[in-house]
Amino acid sequence: MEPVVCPDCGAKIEVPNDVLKGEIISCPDCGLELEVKDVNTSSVVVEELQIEGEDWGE
Amino acid sequence: MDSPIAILCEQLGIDEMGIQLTAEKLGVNITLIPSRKIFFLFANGNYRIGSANRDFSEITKNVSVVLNRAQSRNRRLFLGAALEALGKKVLNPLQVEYICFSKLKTLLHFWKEKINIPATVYIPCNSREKTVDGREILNANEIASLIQQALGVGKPVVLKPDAGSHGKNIKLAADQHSLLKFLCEIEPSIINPVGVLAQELIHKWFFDLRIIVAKEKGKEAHCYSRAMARTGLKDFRTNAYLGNMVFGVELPQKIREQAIKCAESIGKSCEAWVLALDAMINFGREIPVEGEITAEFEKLTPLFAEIQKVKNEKVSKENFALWNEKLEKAFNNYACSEAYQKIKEIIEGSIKGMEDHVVFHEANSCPDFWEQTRLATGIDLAQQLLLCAESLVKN
Repeated sequence: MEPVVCPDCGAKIEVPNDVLKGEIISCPDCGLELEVKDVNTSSVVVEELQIEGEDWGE
Repeated sequence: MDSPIAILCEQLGIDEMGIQLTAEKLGVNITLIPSRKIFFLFANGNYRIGSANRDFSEITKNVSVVLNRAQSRNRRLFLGAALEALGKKVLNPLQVEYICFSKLKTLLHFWKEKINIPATVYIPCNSREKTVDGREILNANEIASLIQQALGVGKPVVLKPDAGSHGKNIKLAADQHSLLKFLCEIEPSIINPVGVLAQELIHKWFFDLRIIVAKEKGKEAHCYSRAMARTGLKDFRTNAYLGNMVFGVELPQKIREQAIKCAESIGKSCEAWVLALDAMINFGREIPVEGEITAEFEKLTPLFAEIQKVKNEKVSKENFALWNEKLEKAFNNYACSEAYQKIKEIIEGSIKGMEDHVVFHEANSCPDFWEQTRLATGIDLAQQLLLCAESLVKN
């Protein structure tokens, strides 16, 4: 599976071959979590996981 | 390339991308320090900071100022403490974060400086408690009585979590029945660890104000002359986060002076800080919003909806500059309209002569700014943050 590029820090994120749609993968460099939105033959489509805790925000 | 200025955040949000874009335009290099899946090790006089794959210790060593943009208030406090222990200057400093974390602590600082605040009562007791043998006791009735004893019987009461954000869990209890109902619903939580915070309802007509005050090292604190007026016609909460319309309005000098006093009460003894203060004009009675005003709001609705549409688009680091251009264009269309000007003038006119009735109620140490405050007021808070950071690096 082709690695994906972290949208925040630009690091290469390895994607396991048996990755499933809906799985969460983390950037090993900055820890950003990405959700696998789609799995193609050799690549995946990912989207930043939106997290918001109770104490988040101004 | 390592930089003396770093930005610490959980993930790059709009504001953080705005800071990066501004830094790029100003030729300032900033380093990213992630703040969730990362360890901070402190042992035997040494420290290490790292993620699964990367060591941030060296990078951090070369950093002298950190913009603390962690969105979790608790995380901002913990990491602010860790970074200051490492000798880093943090924006905002831990002292400022600590005060702003709590609405009550903030209000007490204002009150000590004789700033007008909404009458505030704190009852250090939870509505429900457990006895040692596991029974639940209910205190809501007694808490309601204490609130009424303090604020007056039969008056509307605003209940707020002490460290809440974005208007979450703020309730307006118009009568005894709803006060009891809301009190029964309050559970101790990360944003309200103990007790009940209640305030008198301020009749602020249809808007409140967000005022920016900043201090760079070696300079006096400065209050920007424009503020953001956040409106709300349907809800007593005038919060831009709830999707309400915003306007840029000129502030009378007296309110700016009060704002500086408020901000200094929080930032005193700190070298640099940036604060967004929330204030209301206390009109003293409920003033109906006349048909003329609602008609102007109706005219603005489609223009404001265009801004919201752009905001809802997917934004990444790659398309941020382009997206921002679209956002600015949409806001410009909205702000150049006749209806916008009319409402702006109504707000400005209503503030004049009411300078002594301004009530300050909150201070935000990590405000959202890119999508609302910046566009409505023209205040580039990203630039201000970077100026503050640079003042700390240089001096």
